[in-house]
Amino acid sequence: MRECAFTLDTLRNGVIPHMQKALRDKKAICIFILPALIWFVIIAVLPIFQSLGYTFVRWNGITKPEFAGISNYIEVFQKSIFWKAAVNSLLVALASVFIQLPISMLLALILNYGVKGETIYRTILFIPVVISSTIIAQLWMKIYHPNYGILNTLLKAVGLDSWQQQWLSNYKIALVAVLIPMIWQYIGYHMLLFYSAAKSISSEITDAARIDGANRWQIAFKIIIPLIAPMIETSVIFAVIGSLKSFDVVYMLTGGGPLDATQMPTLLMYTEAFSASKYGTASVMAIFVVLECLVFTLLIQKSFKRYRRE
Amino acid sequence: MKKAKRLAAIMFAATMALGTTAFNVHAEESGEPITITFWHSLGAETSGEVINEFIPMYEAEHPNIKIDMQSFQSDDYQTRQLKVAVSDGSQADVFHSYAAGYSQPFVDAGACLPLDDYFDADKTWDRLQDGVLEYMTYDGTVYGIPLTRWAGVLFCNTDLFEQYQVEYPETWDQLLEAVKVFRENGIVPMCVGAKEGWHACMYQNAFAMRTAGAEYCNKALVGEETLNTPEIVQSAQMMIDLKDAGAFDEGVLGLSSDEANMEFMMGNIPMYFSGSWSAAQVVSEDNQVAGKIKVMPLPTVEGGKGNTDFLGGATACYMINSKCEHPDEAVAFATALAEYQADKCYLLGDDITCWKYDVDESEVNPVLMEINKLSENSTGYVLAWDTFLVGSAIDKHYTLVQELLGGACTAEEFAEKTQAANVEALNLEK
Repeated sequence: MRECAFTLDTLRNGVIPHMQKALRDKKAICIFILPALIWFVIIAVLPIFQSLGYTFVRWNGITKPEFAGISNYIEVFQKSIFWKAAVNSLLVALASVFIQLPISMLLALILNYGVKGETIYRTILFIPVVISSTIIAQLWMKIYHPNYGILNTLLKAVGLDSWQQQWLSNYKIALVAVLIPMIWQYIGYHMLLFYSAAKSISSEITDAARIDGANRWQIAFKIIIPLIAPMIETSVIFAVIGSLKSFDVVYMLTGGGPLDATQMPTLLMYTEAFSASKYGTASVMAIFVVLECLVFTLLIQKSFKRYRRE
Repeated sequence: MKKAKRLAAIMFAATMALGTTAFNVHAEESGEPITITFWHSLGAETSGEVINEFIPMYEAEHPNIKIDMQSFQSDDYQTRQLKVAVSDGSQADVFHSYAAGYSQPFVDAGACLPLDDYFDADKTWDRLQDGVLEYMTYDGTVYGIPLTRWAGVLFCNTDLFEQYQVEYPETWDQLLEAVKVFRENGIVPMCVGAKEGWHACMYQNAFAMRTAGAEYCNKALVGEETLNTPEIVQSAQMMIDLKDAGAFDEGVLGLSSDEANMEFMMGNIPMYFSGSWSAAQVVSEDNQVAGKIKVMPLPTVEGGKGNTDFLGGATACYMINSKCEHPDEAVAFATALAEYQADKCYLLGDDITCWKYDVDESEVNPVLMEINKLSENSTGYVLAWDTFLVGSAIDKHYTLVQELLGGACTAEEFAEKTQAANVEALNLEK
């Protein structure tokens, strides 16, 4: 916090006049952001509009596209499997917001309060974030393996044989089995966001509260959490969007199976485009996911508005 | 702002100008020597090594030709990379592809070079075995240079059969009996991983070939006949019967083909219906089943129309890009490679060659030899359905077989829905 203030002060006092001048020069700003902007438009914005165009054609990716009106939309929205996938992704989003984020917050608060070995815990908790999803999926596949997996072995060892499960093959529990690694994977990520935000709160504030007789919980709930609301908002947005477009771990763990129990819109989109070669309907799904993410982002921003004003 | 725009425009123009000159220089320099680009997804194992060994030899023989090879990971290449490249004709001059339904859209889009004239000129026809071009011929024109063909057989672990004194199943009833005995002894009788649909489909496809016959299946899959027949229903029912008899692992729907395959190689499972491509693996000393394998045709079905047919055929092939600048050289290279590779791979036990071979059979992998002998008496072939079916029908077929195993669909529904999916996909393709 102090370092940051120092930089701003130096800027304000005009210690670096060149930079200040540069920042006032709108032309220079435009030129500097132009390369990034062009890049962004080419790789992010254009493809979205291109996909939008594909939603109105019947196209196998190879031969000439044929105009198809809104038939692709009708086809996708009539598929019960698509809605099932959409519901599944919403469940993942709910679980991230109401299970993953609270755990992250709890860990962040504990670390922020100051425990012995803070750095070590922080690093350990962050490890799953830096491991590639492929490895995470492989790891959990081994954990869930019905014959050799540590989970079933452990249950057997403690005499809970009847609890043993075909974790990824039983369609009743497969979604939960897939959810767990997905939640586990990013707990450290959100924890770090919360933790760094909490760390940046001036100790004067918490000290004052402590002098006024606030206990640990009161400080956490009445001071820290309200103050880091903007970071919570960001985290919620990340968690929801990440869940809605989740692909990698599910793809590797179950491939959407068994019997579509863990199907996701992105998985459907992938098979629709690359194995069924129906780029039109696949694009409809892509656009649906994009819009879904946009709508949720707006909703979340709206619901956090009052915290931001304060 | 105006200045900024102008600057950006100049920069753009400059980049493009630089790009084109660079390209021109490259083209001029190449002059005499010819570069042929080549893509395959045959992995780093047997076939990949054979290819790596052949290319320097070929380049030494043809000093003006340079082969620019790129090897891809199989799944990604097959499902995505090749299709994306073909969509704008940017695939390599010589590219590895698959016959029947897979390459149908490529041929329709005019992305592949017709090969009949080259085959006439080079007398390629005479060097190929009979019938191997069947699935690479589209509307009477050949587009593929075949590599290997495969045949599906039942691999049996002789150790387990002897230990539990089970009779090797030659008929469906004997198969059910074998399943029963193994199950009673706490052994998973048959190897299949249905997480990816294809592994489970092999079984159903093979049963359908037994009940309906290869000839009928071939016709039905391309839409000339219907798949909604009592015979196909029966093939689906056989899957259900096997499942109910406990032939497959309880977690079969969550088991990947690799995991299931590994269980068999570890000697835990007595029966595995697989393609001849498994022959190399079962004789490998790395596996517990080495030397303990008996191969036999899939059990016959009473009243079946295809009891002497085989699941399999020639699918792997090389195709030539129709936009290729040096088609003569590309075809010559691809043919030479295919011939060399097919013989070599047969010797190594990778798969059965499509070419009239001249190898010392005593050196051939014994299991593969056995499969080759079994399939020599074949009265008909039908490919695994997923190579035949097009577009959305492939996934629908996978899902339906998975549903059979999960108890989520009946045999009648299976036949009906598979037919509907095939008709829909075929119509879309047209």
